[in-house]
Amino acid sequence: MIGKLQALLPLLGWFYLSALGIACISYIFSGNVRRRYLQLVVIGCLLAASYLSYQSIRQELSFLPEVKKTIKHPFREKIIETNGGEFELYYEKIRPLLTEKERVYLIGQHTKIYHFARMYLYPHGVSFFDTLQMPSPGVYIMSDGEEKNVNKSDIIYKGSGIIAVRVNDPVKGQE
Amino acid sequence: MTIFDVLFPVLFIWGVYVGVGSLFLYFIQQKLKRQTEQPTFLFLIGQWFLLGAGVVTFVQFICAVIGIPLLFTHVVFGVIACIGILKQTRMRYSFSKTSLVFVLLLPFLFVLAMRLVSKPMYTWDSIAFWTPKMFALWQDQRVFPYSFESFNHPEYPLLLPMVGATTYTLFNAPNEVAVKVALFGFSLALLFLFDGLFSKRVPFVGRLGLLFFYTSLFIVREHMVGEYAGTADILVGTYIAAGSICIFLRRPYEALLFWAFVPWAKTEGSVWVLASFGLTALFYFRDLLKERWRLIVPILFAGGWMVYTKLLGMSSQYFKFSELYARPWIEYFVYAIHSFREEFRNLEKWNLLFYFFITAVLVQIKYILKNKEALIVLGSLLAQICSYLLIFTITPEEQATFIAAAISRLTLHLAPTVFAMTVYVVGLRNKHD
Repeated sequence: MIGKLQALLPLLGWFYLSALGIACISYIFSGNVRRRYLQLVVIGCLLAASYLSYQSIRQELSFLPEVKKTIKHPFREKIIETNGGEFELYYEKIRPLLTEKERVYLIGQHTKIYHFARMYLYPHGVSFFDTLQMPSPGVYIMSDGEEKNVNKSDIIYKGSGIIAVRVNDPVKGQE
Repeated sequence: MTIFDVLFPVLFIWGVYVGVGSLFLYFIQQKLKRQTEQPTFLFLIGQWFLLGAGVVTFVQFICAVIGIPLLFTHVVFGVIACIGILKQTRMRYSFSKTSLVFVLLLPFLFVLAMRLVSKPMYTWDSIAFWTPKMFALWQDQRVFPYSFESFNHPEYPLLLPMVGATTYTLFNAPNEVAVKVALFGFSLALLFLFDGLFSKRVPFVGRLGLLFFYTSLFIVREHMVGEYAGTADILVGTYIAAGSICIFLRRPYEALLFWAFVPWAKTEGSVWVLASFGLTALFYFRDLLKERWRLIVPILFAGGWMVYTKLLGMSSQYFKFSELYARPWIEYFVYAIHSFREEFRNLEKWNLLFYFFITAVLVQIKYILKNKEALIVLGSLLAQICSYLLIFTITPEEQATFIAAAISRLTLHLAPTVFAMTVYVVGLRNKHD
């Protein structure tokens, strides 16, 4: 019976057990002893909170050496270091090549790259396909391994392991 | 472009928010025919900043819908801000020793600021919708019905994207580091409000300790400067806490104004607005009845974006009540409760904040029941937690993964208010004695 009841104790958790303990002891004692005891409990909790805050501040300080390396970097370098080359590729290189209202299709790219592309190419619409297909006119961006499957004359950008192909006539483009 | 190039445009944005906020608050206090005593000068700056940011971004949104570019409205607000700041220079404010708290806190804030400017925004939410919305607003300079439909969560409101788009506009480039620095102003403003609330309740060393405690919380740090900087959760927490601090200082109308901007920061805030507006109307019925026409202002701020999204037929993907019939919802509900329990007792993330809060509420419950300000905030906190439990129960996504990804951010909505309320509630006994 006692063993079964003991099995219930972990369910209460240390917080509730401690609270129960503190409440019982403060109920047993009275007057000055009780006040001192409660003061000790409060001080103990404040010390624990201070220690955890200290740990947290130390953790923040431990980031400093890494932070110092990048703090003076220009914005463009920071974004390339953190998020990869999407800013450079889509915003600086592909975007100026697009004509008004031209749609962009990403072939076999990761979802995260898709998110960057639809942001940096806005207001141009961006869609993606898993495999090479060219159903509509627009600019198709794919890895340079697909170069053999597209017309060389349609390539408008090549670099960083990708090619961008402008397709005006979808049927011709798919050949 | 380095941090030094970033600083002046960001200071301009902050100046506009402070100036417009000061003028707005001045007119409110004139209309309310009362000049309330301000706890500290920094408290006033914090109030002006947060009110100004809300008003400027909201009016920018209205203007952008009718075709007025963001740059134009920000320049006009720049002129208005100058009038506001000139008006305030004629007032006399004393810089008491209370400001010294921030001199001592400055080294730690500087360390935080260094991490802030070391990286652009990079978390999923930021890449999937918050930053793209800034980019779209900057490119269009207007709000079109289809502006955000290609991004995730087009129904999410525009406080953060407007701040970001204004920053991009001033740089004429998509500079995410500058946006992060601009957003740091919201966290500083909240620290000023906390200090104002504590100034008459807690001795100097205690206030310093409390502010260190709050800024050292892991999740708060991560949202202020780290991984999640650039998501709107810290703004939700900031506006909820700002309103709660005003209600603790017995300024119900100002509290409603701050709370009105909670759904303007993120859609989840609509529950808070309904609960807090309802409870404030209940407890301050006579006061608010005198100001009933002026209540239109906070209601407009709170409901403007919601009306716009409803007119466009946008809705939240999380409210799928059909899920209730398709799953054993009691088990999902119990799991959601356990998740919050686990979150609250996560010492690494929240230190002893929630333990202190729960203990303070339990110990002081008889004083809380006699205090309408505490009841308003506690009731609204409960309503907000219930809404999160409901979302976690009916979410169409895989529940455990969704909770793991969202619970810390949702808890952050409540944490600053929980912090302020803990200090307020502990002080209740003395007041009644």
